[in-house]
Amino acid sequence: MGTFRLDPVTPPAGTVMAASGDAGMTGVVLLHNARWFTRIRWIVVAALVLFGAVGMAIDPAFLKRYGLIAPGLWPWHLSGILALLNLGSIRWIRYMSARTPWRMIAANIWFQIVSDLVVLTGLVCRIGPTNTVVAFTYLFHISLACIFFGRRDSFLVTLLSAGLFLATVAAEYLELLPHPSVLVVDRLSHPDMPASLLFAIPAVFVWLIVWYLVSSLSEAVRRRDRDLAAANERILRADKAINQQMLRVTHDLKAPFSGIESNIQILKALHWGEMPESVREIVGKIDARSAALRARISDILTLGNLRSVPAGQPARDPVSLRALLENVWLEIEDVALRKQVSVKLAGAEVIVPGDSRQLKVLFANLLANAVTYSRIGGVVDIAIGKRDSRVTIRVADHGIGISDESLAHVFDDFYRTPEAVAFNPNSTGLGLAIVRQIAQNLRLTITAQSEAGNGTVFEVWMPAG
Amino acid sequence: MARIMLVDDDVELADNMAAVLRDQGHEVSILTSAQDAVLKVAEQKPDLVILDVMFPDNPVAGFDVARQIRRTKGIRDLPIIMLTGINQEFPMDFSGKDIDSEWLPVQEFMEKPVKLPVLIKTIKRLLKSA
Repeated sequence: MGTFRLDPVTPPAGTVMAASGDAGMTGVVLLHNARWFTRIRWIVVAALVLFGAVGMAIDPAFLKRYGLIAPGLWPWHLSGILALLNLGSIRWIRYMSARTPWRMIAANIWFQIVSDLVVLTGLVCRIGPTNTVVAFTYLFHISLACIFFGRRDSFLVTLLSAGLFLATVAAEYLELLPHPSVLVVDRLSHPDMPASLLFAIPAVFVWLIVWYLVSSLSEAVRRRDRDLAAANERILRADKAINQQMLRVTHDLKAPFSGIESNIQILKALHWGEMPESVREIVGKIDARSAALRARISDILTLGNLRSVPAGQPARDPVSLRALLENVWLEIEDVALRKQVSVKLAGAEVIVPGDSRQLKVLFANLLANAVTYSRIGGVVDIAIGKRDSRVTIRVADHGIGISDESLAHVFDDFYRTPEAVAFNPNSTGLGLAIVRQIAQNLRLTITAQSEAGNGTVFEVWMPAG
Repeated sequence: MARIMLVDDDVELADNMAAVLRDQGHEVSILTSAQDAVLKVAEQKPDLVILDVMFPDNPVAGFDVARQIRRTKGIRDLPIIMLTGINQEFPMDFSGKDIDSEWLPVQEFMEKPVKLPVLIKTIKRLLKSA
C-alpha cells in the first residue's frame, strides 16, 4: 500500500506586511530585530554581573600582582541600569504589533541604541578610554545601526558614538574620571592630551571607515532586496492578471454551454413526450457530453477562484464538521444512488475553526471522488476522530485504488491515473487539485493511502481549536 | 400563480426559463438590460424577481440592481433569486462585499445553467414564505 502526504505550505513572510522604512525593512522584520536586541542585551547584563562577581571573589592582592585592581561595585551598577532600560524596552515592545507604524518601532530601536551607548560610555570611562581597546566596542552599535537604519541615521549613531567617546577622552584629560582603571593601576599618573588624541582621533577615523563600508554594503544588500521584492510583486501581479483573464475566458466559455443545457432542459420539460425513442437517446448523449464539459469548466473556475483568494490568515469561523459532511453527502446523494453506493458516517459532532465554504468544496470533492471510483454497490466510510490533539476526517472507499507510482501525482492539475481514465472517462483531473489548493489556503495536512484495486483512504488533519 | 420578472441579457436562456415558468402557470415578463430594471420592478411590482449578475456593460450590474431594490420603498421585501455564471462561493473579481449575505440579502443564489425543476421548487418555496 502506498502513502502520500500533502503538508501545508507557509506563505512567504514578505506578503504579510508591506509598510517599510528607509532601510527597506518591513515592520515585522524591524520588530523582530527590536526583540532580538533585548535578548542580546541580557547577555551583556549577565557578563557585567559575572565580571562584578569575579572581581569581588578574587583576592585584591592577587590582582595587584598582575597590575590589576578589583572593579568594585560599578559593574553591578551598570548591569542594574542596563537591566532596567531593557525591561523598559521590552514593555514598550509588548504594545507593538506588525501593524504598528514603522516609525514607532524605529523609535524603540533608537531608544535601545542610545541607552546602550550611554551605558557603554560609562563602561569605557571605568575601564579606560585611551589605554585599552574597550572603545572599539562602539563599533558593534555602529555596525548594527548600518544594518537596521538608512545611511543618514546610521551616520548619526556614528557621530553620537564619536561624541561620547571624545567626551570621555576630554574627561580623562581633565581628571574628571573616577580612577583607577580596572585593568591598569597607573593609568592616571597624568594623562597626556596629545598622546590621548593620538589614540582617540585615529580610533574615530577607523569608526568612520567602518561606518562607510558597512553602510555601503548594507545599502547594496537593501537595494538588491528592494529589486527582488519589486520583481516578485510584478510576477504576482502578472500571475493574478493571467488568472483573472483565464477566469473570464472560462466564464465566457461556460455561457454557450448553459444555453445548450437550457435548451435540452426545455426539450425534456415540454417536448419529451413528442420525441421518438431514438431522438431521446441522442438528446441524452448531448446532455451527458454537455454536462461533462460544464463540470470541467466549473472545476477550472473553482480552482481559479480558490487561487485568487488573498494570502493571509485563513478564516477561523466555527464549523460543525459532522453537519457539513452530512450536507455535502446530500448534494452528491443522487450520483451515489445511481451507483448504489452507500455511506457510513462515524464519529460525534466536532466544531473546528475554519472556512466553511472552502471546507465544503474540499469534502465535496473527496466524497465525489470516493463515490466515482467505488464499484457498483460499494461503501464509502467517513470517520471523524481526534488524534495528536488534531481533528481527523477519514474518507475511505473500496474502489479501484491508485498505484504507488501514481499516488504522488494525484494532487497535480489535470492528472488522471490510467485506471481512473479507464473507469471514468469524464473525470476532469482537477478534483484533487482543488483539494490541494484548499488545503494550502487553510494550511491543512492531507494524507492519501491507496492500493491498486483495493480502494483509497484520504485523511484530512485539522487543528482542533 | 405569481407574476415573475426575469432580468437577464441572455435572451435564449431567459426565453427558456420563461417558457417553463409559463407552463407552470406563472405570468413572466423579461428584461434583457439591467438599466431601468429597478424602475420597471417598482412600476410592475412583481411577486418575485430572477436577476442575472453579469451584464455586458457592467459585470456586477445584478448586485447593483439588488441593492437598489433593497433600498426602494414598496419593493424592498421582494424575493430575489440571483443567477450567476460562476460559482458563487468564491469572489472571482467581485469584491467581498458583493457576495456578503448580510449586505446583499438575496434569498437565493443559483448557478447557471439553472436546473429548471430546482428553479420551480425554489420559486414555490419563496412564494410560500413571502
